Amino acid sequence: MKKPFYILGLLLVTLGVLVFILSRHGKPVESSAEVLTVHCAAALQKPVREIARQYEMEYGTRIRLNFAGSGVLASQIKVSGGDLYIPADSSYIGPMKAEGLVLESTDLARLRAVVVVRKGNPRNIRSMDDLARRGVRISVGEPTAAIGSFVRRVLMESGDWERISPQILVTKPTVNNVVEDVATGAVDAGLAWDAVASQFKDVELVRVPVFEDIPRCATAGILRGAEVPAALHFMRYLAATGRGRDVFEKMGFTVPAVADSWTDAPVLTLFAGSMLRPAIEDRLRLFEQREGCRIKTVFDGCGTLLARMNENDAGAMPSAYFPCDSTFLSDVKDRFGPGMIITSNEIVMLVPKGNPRGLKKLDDLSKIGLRVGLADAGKSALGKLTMDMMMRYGCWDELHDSGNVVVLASKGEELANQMQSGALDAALIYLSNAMASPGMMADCKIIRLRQPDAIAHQPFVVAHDTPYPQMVLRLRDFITHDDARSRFEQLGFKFIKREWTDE
Amino acid sequence: MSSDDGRKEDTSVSGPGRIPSDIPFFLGIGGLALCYTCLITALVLANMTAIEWQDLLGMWYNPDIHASIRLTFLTCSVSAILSILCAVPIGYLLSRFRFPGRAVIDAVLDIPIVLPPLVVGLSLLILFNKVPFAGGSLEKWLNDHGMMVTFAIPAIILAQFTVATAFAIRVVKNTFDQIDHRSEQVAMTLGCNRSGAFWNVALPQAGQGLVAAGVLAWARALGEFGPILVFAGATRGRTEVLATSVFLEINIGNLGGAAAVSLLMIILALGLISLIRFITRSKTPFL
Repeated sequence: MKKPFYILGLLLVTLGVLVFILSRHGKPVESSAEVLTVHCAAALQKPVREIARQYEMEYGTRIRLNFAGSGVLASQIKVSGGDLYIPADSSYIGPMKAEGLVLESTDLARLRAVVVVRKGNPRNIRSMDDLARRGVRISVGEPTAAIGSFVRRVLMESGDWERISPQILVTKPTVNNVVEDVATGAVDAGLAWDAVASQFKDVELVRVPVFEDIPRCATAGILRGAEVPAALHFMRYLAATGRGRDVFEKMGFTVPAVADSWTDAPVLTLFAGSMLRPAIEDRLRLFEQREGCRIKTVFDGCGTLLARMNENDAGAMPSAYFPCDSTFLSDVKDRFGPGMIITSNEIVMLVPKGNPRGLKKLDDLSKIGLRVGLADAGKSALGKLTMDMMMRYGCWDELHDSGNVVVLASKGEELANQMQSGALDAALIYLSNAMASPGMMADCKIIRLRQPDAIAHQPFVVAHDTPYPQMVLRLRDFITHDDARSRFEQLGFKFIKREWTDE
Repeated sequence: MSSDDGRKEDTSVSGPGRIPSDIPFFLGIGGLALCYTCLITALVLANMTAIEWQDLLGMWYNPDIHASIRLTFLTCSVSAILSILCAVPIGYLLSRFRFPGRAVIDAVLDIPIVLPPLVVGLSLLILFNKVPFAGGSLEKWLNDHGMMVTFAIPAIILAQFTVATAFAIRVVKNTFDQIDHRSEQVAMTLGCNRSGAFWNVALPQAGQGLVAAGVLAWARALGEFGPILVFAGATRGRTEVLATSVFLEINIGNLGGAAAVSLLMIILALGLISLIRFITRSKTPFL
């Protein structure tokens, strides 16, 4: 007769066990395998799901996908974090980059807004005017979805929004829902992304001029606090030819013209003027760790680098070239894409501490009995710029005739060393050469020449034939990121960072 | 209509003892029953047409859905047990005793049944987060003591429990109503006290009904969505139960995936219904 008590006891014990199991729910148990959390716009659901599946099979890393409208994801990320954010429109990335929430980003696919109608276009909808017709039922995305906010913005500007809004029957959280509405016949027309609509069987796309010239770009961004290099590895995979890019293309997305080839751990070659070594060396190592790649860097005088490129053997072409001055590009311009002027650096006169010979101007270098060090015009940008500057100033021949030039170095660092050892009375070098060596200020004095043409501009250019154009651009952005700026400025570089096409 | 026809027929035909045909009556009720059954069957079938093999495979291999199934079973079981622990004494109280305010209590207990589920969730949300309490709000106080309710798993259980208990109480009360309380009175005349009569006489007789109430509570918990959405949130992998999964899949336009999860829920529901049938029909006592 005590049976009910036993059953009560059993219930309580079961309850205890269940609560215990629940208390452990959702805690990461799979510490053995890596897990990446990817917040992805619902519009990209199909390709990204497929790419994640392939990636999981290839590398065993688990990808947790969270799909929603791009705007919804942005607010979720602020609360819960994650590794990658893939909105359907790159305009979501910009503000997050500005806030420091997104670091690197890469373009994945282009999307154009279209009018979606049922197969055969039974309501004969061909233009925005047709949408404004009475009795046409329209479905649009909510403003929290990229499609919703984009069509609102564009149509409000064009004045069409007011005309069609009485016909809007329903708003939906994602573009997929909008197309679904058209496919099931619940509405007559929807405003959706072309690539998403073309995945559905029962619908047809009507292209309208108002959207046609403004394609949007689905972009992947690495979130602050993301697991690197795993997150970057997957981001590269998403965009790479032969991997993610092919899946996007297969599913009807327009993919960007340039994309990286897929390699597990790419190797980049960077040719850089030797003056840049102290400014970028540490940053290059950080980039390697972050991206899981290797950078073979050759620092040398720019003339030497040019000569190596002109030898034209297969291994000699770098992925990127970061010369000391833009004049050292003209010979190889056709091999590189448009670049960006990153910094400028002025040429200064370096004299021993106290300036015992009282040197002030370029003319003074021809004084009798001086030991002057210059850079070789054939081997380095510094030498070339120095020569041009002195020729224009009109003291080049005089200096040569004086026989004062005792050293023609291949790069500025050598001259800096010789100055420090006391072997020279004066040298013309970059301000950064002088600032880079810590002991220099104790032994030498910098005399600013204030010559407008004594300034070298350092452009960063990407090789046309590099297999990793996107990664090289990330490298450029990384070594010239605001975090790196102070290092450049410490060394006497002026930070410019503007687009540069030709002189 | 058919009964009218029957009466007309009745007056026109002479002769005593002639019973009019039952066919129109059966056609009427049979037809209506058939219509409604067809509607429900059509719903299930329509749901299935939206599913492709890929969707089923996708569901099968989707770790989020696995977590969702696990969490659904755990939370529903906890809610059902809590419901039954609450419902049995309350049902017994309402069935056996007449006391002032009983009608009010009876009515209040029906609120979760008639209220839109969304309102239950909203009210829970407000109760925990807006109503002043020591330290600001109840949620704040709980957080200070190491507990999280809102947008966490306890919120799921609380939402399910609130609604499921109301239904369980109805079943338990009906069960006790149907048991003659004379046997308990006899037990008391034989030296049992109230508690003894409850544990040793009333409960063993109510066994089947109580188990059925438990299963019903479980099934209600399974179907709960509105309050969970509002009070527990629909965070993938964290507070995602099967009903939430359907919502999340619909939200991203994955109709096939949503239908696949729905199918799983339909199968679960059918299983539970059969279980209730089996329990209430079988003659063997459960307690």
